[in-house]
Amino acid sequence: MPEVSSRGSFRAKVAADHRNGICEKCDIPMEKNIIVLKGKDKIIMRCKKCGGTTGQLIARSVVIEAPSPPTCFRFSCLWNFYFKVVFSWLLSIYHKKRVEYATRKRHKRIPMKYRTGEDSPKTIKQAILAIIKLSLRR
Amino acid sequence: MAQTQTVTNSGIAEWIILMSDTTPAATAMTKIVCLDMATVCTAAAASTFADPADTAVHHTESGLSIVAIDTVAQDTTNTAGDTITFDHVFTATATENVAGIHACNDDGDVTFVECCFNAVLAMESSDTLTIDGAVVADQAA
Repeated sequence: MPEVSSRGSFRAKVAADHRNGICEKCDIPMEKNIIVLKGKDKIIMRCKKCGGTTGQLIARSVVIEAPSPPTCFRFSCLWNFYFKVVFSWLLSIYHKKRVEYATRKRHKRIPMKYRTGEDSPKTIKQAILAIIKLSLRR
Repeated sequence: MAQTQTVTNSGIAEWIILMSDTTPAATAMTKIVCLDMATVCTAAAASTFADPADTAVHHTESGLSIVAIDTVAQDTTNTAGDTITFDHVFTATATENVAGIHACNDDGDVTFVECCFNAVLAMESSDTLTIDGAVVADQAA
């Protein structure tokens, strides 16, 4: 019987940008264009001024990497892992609230960090404060 | 809930059929469709094309239905050529909720990758949704 020995895996990563139909560069509404792609009609938004196809960002949905499992059974290893799990959980809550907030405020001017997800919390304390701040924003 | 994404069990089975060239014939990952659900879903390995995560269903119109993926290519993450990347832009033609996506085979009956977003995206007409995805077959995981 052949033995299969590997630690390999299949992993999926997906990022999603939700944008409106207003040109990111020129700040004017883009036009719907129909192009033929792979034999099928496809609608794309194109700016009649600059020809760009990128709208203004409403919200970016981001991947949060799960913490790696502990590599030893020492108390410090397990304790560190525990904190990483708590941080990932808080970061998940932050990004969920952030995307909901950015989508709700799609027509308003809000700090770009809530749309891009960049400059997100780096510590448990920062994550808790960011969640409270987001909860207080209407 | 964090954004969740997974390679599905049925997707792995389709890949194995592709590799082994057995009957029934399999087809490659060339299509994509948006998931319709009013609340956040959770991606699951057990999800299938016919039965997506939670109570999600496939969008069937409004520019979010199943279509050919704009770009599918081979890429490298750790080992040369160990990654499949897929990029697609959806343009909504009406107000719709999008909870996630399915990357599917060419026959449109097997889901390889299921992704549920951080939050439900409330799409309006002329909004675009740009998907930038990758599947890594990693020996060093």
